[in-house]
Amino acid sequence: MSASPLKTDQELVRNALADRHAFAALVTKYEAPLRRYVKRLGINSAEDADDVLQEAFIKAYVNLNDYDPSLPFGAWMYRITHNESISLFRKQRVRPHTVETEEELVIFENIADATDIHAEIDKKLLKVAVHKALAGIGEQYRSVLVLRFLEEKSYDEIADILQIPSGTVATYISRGKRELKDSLLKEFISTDV
Amino acid sequence: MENFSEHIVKEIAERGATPKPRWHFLLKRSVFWTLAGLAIVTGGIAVSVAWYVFSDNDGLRTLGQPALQDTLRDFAQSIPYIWLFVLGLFTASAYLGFRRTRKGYRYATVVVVGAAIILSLVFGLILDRLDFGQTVHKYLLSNTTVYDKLIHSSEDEGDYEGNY
Repeated sequence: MSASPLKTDQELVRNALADRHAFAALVTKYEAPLRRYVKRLGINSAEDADDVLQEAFIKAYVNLNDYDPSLPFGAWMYRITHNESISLFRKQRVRPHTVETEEELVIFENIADATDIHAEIDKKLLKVAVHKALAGIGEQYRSVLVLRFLEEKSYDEIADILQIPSGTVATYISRGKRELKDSLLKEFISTDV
Repeated sequence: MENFSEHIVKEIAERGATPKPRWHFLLKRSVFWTLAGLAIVTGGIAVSVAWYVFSDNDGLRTLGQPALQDTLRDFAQSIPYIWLFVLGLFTASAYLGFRRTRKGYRYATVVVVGAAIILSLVFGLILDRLDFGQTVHKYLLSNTTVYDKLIHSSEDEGDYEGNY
């Protein structure tokens, strides 16, 4: 079953409440962006990503009546998926892994731009280093940086996904960039670049 | 091979998962709103009693004393810390209750805490005008021994019942 482009998320939610098979349309619509998101958060194992998405979608289905139609359904799904991802990290007590694809490296450059250290460090090395450093910074900072620079979400959307005030989002982005920059500089100094 | 969406629907069926009813969430949200509201009301009661104890206990009169040291000491002794502690406790409860409401996360901590304190102060001053603080204070003095010890711990004069 595929999502009809004519139906809004609110209509799809109503349909899913009436018939669970209709929930497949919402899964189809959000599977790809959410899979990409969990990967960017550092869940590289396909099996783990499947588990996170499965639990997130089932949780969403069970709590469908709690969905606030004044928010985009996507933001709500991102929130649930984010919480599931964090739960997985805590369960496994591991740091997120780094991502490796060329597409990811290009987008990671967006973060590098925001740290203003291009002038100091070779660009190519930086691209590789940024995604490594991202996996090593604090969880809340990594989340906002991924949402802002990789998922390209607005501050308000990030606030709705992470359930924090917009002002806190701005603070986390600022601190996250600083932490990322420090982490990068440390890495380059230690490797004598 | 089934696709992911079919797999999810199948998994939902196998687990026997169904959407929780709307009333479940309404009730949950109501609990947090009620908690926040009750915390404001209780904070207001704390303010009204604190204001009564403070104003009845030379707290304002000491401000006119010539010696600054005496003024500050007497002023400090006149503050009903226990009620300020109660106000702080219920302000924190109001904050936690409000943050768990649907859109409570959108507001900064300082805004929510500030609003809770202001609401408690306004409500407390209204209660004070109705002599509610005095009533609560006297009731607690007459019916509990702990309250008497708590409220007298930082004071050495006056009977706190308005009789000098």
